[in-house]
Amino acid sequence: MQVNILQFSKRRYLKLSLVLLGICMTLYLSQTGVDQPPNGGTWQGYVLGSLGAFVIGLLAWQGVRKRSYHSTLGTLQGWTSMHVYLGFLLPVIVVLHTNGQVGFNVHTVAFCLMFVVILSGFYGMYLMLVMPRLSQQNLANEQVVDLRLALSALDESLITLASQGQQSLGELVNSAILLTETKQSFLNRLLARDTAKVQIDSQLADNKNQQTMINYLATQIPDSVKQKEVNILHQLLTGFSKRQILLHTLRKDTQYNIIKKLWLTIHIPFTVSLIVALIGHVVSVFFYW
Amino acid sequence: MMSFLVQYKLNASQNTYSETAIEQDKLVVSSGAEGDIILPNVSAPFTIAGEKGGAVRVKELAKNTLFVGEKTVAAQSITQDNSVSVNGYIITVIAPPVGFDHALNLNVDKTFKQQALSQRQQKSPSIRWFSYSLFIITLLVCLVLPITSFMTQQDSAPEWAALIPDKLPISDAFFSSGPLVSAHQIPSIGDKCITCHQTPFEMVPDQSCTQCHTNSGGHIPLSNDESGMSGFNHLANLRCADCHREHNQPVSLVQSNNALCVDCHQQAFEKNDLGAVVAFSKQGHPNFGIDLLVLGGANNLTWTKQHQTWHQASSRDGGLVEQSNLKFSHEMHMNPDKVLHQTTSQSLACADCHQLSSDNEHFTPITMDNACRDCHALSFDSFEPDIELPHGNTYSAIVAMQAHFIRQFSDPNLRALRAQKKARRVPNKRQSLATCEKSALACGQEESVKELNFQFQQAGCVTCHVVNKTQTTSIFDQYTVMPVKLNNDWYRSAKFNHRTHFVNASVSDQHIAGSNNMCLDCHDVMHSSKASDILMPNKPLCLTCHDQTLEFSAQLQCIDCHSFHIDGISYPHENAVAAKEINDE
Repeated sequence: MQVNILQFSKRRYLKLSLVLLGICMTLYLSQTGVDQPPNGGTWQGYVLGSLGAFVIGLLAWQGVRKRSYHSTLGTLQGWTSMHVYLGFLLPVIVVLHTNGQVGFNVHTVAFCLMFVVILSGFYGMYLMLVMPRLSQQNLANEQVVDLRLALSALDESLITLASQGQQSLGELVNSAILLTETKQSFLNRLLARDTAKVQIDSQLADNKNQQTMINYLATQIPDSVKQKEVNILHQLLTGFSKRQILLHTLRKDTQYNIIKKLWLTIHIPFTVSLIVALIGHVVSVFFYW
Repeated sequence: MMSFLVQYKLNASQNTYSETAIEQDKLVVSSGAEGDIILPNVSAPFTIAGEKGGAVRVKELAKNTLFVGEKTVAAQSITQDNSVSVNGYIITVIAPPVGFDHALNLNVDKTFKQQALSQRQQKSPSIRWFSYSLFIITLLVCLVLPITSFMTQQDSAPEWAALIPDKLPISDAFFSSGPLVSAHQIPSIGDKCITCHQTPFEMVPDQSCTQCHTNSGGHIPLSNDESGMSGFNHLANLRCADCHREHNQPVSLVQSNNALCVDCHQQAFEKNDLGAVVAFSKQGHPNFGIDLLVLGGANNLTWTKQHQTWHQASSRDGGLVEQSNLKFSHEMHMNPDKVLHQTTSQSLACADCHQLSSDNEHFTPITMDNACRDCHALSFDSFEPDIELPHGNTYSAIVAMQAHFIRQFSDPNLRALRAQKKARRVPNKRQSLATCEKSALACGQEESVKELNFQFQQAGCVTCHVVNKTQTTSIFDQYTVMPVKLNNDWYRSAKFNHRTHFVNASVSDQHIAGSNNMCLDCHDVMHSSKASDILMPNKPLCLTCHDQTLEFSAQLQCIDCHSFHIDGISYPHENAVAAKEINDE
């Protein structure tokens, strides 16, 4: 994916961006400061601003083109390649347009929103490059649905196994399974935080990574007298170790999915906001001409 | 309150059921502690409420989380003896035993695979709603509020504007593209865009500026023909704001770039005695034109300011002289062998006579009282040296002389006293008559005539003034003192700051003390023997420090010495419009 998009059509859009960069730099440097210092109000500033607005429109149109499955207006791969390279160029155009002048005004709002969109885009591109590999490594070619079903089956087997032992063991395992929160807050999911608990001696104890349960079972084995109990405890220990891995994998998968969605949660709404602010910027320039 | 009997098992392989009796209107089934019934594999919490005939109704607690079979529904009724798969459990409504209103059997649904999907559908921030929210906020902040703020300030504001609060959280100032110059950051300008931006989508008109700046001069004289500025009608389209640009960073309202001036002045305007200018250098700038006062008019007694080109050394070549009608020698006054300061007995300093004005360019006009009288007292009677003639009016002086001498000889006591006195001899003063045998009137008049002739022919008035002798016999009309007018502004169209050029000397606020070197560096007074000498520095002298063609020089911009706006000329746009109309005709 990385190679295809960035090297699309012999880096056509890299070349286009470099040509545009050269034009923009020339325009900027041609502002001699005779009439006024370099800014968006010179004719070069107007040209740079118009170009910047056009590029913003082109970048935003990517969202439309992506959903136009029957469109013949270039390939989606080409559009994405252009999206990336022009995305790198846009901040340069805008900084040259503004000459870095900021203040408490609509123009700076558009300026800042542009940077939020671009930076989130950079982050998104980084995620696009690393997330598939991370996700793949985490799931190890397994499907999430299968992992969840496996967890469900494991839980059933653990409860069944525990029910064959002492009643207190059954209650302990039940509580460990019941108190493994499958529904987490957004923040916990984002941070892959484990809030699992277990009820030991009528007290709720932290069971992060099922470690309390694993430690408890491990300490119980040497104290057990009957072989049957030892076997059950051994199997439970093995089961909870598997459970630890399964839960960790699922938590990481959830985290990766949220992160992948989160950059878009910034990128898309702020793009909408940027377009509105850009319209406000253009209107304000001519409103108070 | 209804009574439920709930049979359930935690997993499919378990053969024993747990039974729970609950008396509530509605049961919450979940995998967490908040549930009335806690089931580990339930994919999302839901409620079970009793209905008539032992039936129950399951209902989602959160949107799109209740799976009945493979589909999501908001709620589903289950009648007695029927089973429905809900969120990973098969709920069977069974006949309630005695004492119960409803009875349920909950079994794990092994085929339920939506669990994983529902896990993935846990609530995350909604992009769509976030987008809508940001859209509305940005629209309000960047467009709606500023434009509303502008509309409420208009004179012809719509009626609904009265409903808008005076202070909006975001005003039309949010449209500002940069800070104003500090002079404009005042109430009614800095906080009110409409003061200058009077009409939306129209450039700031000149009226916005002229409503305050009423006295700023224009640049081209009103009459196109007289100005010799034909071809410069592009000024017709210039607004004040074309040059004076606000809201720029760095804040600067006055343009100082030479190119703006050179654009027009690179060609000479001979009719206006303006040479071509491309830079301040030997070749790029014409010689300075000096402004002289010239006697003129019908009676040759009025001054007009005349602009003449003055070339270096031409003044001493006799080409250009000042016509002040004074006799004065800088050379003599600066020579300590001839003149010393009356109180310090030191040689005279420039500042003893020349006091810098508050504009740091010009000097306080030289007058008899502030510069001359200390040394040149107008005493005329050697017996009464403290009595002085009035200055500036010949008639008054003659009357004063007559009155004095007639009184001296008419009062017996004064006459006797005068006869006894021995008058002190003073250089360049006439020895007055001590006694006189004639009548008081005759003695007084004779003595007055003698003194008059002495003052206007030998020493006194004639020492400093140009005096013409007439042919009339009247004592009052025999002599005419030519009027004096000292030039105070040698370069009307240029600016110069003396204070920034005071170097190599200690300088107090208004008094140049100590060395005269800094003055003499530019003004060659030590070799000036006549008042008609012009001692103003010229272009070559300025070029020694300010030549733009030199690598190391104190570079000057045109506006450092010249002003675009010239007093007495109306606004450029008005002139240019007039000029354009003339040309168009």
